[in-house]
Amino acid sequence: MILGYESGSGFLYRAHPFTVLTLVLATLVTVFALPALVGPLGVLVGIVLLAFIGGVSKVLPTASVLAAPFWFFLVVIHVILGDAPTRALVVGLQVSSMIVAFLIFLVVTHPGRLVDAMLARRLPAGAAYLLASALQTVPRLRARAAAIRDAQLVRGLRVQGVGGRVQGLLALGMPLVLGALHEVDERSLALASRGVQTGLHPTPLHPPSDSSLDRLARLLLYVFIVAAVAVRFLT
Amino acid sequence: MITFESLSFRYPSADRDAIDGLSFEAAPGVTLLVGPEGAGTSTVLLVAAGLAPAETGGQASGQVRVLDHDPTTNAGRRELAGRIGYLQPSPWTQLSGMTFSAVDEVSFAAANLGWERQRILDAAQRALTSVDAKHLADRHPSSLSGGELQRVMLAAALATDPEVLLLDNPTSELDSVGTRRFLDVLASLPDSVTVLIASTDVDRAADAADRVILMDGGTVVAQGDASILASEDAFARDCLTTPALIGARSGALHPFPLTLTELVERVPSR
Repeated sequence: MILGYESGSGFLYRAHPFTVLTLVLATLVTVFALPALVGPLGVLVGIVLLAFIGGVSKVLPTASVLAAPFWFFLVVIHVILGDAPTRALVVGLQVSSMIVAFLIFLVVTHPGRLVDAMLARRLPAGAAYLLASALQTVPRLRARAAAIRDAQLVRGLRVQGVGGRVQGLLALGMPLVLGALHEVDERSLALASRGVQTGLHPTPLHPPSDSSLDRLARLLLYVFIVAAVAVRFLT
Repeated sequence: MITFESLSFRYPSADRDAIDGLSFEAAPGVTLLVGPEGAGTSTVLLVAAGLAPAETGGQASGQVRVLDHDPTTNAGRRELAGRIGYLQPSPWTQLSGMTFSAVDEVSFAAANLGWERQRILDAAQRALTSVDAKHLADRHPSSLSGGELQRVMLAAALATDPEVLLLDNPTSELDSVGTRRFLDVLASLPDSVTVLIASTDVDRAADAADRVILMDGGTVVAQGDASILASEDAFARDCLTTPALIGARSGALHPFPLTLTELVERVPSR
């Protein structure tokens, strides 16, 4: 499962973080604004194609795993128990599109690059650091969970079979939560001691370049968003 | 200069004060804080750094002055921004997670102070060089070992040329060579810098200390030179240097031998 930044070289990696963020925004809006069923299907096809072309097709298996429970419950509720298969399909496509878009953003956006981009635009440092911290949450929790699991395996925990795995999960929960809370305390102290809350505007060390191609892509995405919303209200 | 006067501090939900009527003065030079578990040495650093109670919560009373400012107030913290370097015991949790390299990590505090970019990079390179970690500059922080990272974080604390350094168990991840280098860094600091170290590694830290403050139960039990680490007060609190401990267990009379040489001279041969 890929749930955080991974280095790569596709054009989505080179894109300005705001361009990728605009792509996510465009997906979120258009997937609901464009008429069903063609709209959500088209958005999903488009974003999947973009993942392939942009060198981040590695997000697709993770997206499938994350979307599977939604599809399962949609089929149960709207197809097996209900009588609205089209509704299930539309909602499933909307959810899948959003998951793929968010995963692309997570995988191609280094938290530091996003912070530098925001600071370069004179956006509030607090918001930049909060967003960057949120991007790091899942990878950090996964690393901590792996360390706790290794420690518990060394101390005799057995995770064979379904029962063993459930037991392992229970043994993991409490130390994972307590450890994460403790780390949040320590990290907030560390950040505060390093001038994060001085009220001064930080200097971005490596502000990403915002090329004319990036600006054009964002403009087109904004036009796409406005057009989709217009279609929604005019039809 | 750091001054504590009748300072008390209690963490939220705690049933006793972590610092209880503490009074002492730390002049420029190296002051070592030692004490048994729960003595309050780390909390003293948190208060001096302006992190307690502002970040930790809790209640403080009494007076604390750092470079003539009160770090428990917003105005004091603003005045002290960039003038205090603070190092936590675990370097891992101090990583910002927002940087691409060790030199960026070292630059983090200076960047947050809004320094001009070239000034930041010069300061970061200087700080890395001072802790003998220039070769780590381009490494990703997560690829560093514990000892390497602790040196990088020390460089981060030094990067803004602080007038006060607050170091909480700064050698916890260092081997003996790394600790020696760390002590050399302390020795190379300008005389005007006030360094306050809370350490459980009394043997090594004692070498660098101009003054030693022995704490227990949140208050000062004894203060003076390094000989305190060979006193009965320190013996009662398990804070003796290793030679003093060996001397005490070998039947040497108080004051116990502070150094290895004294130990050899004083312990009766059998």
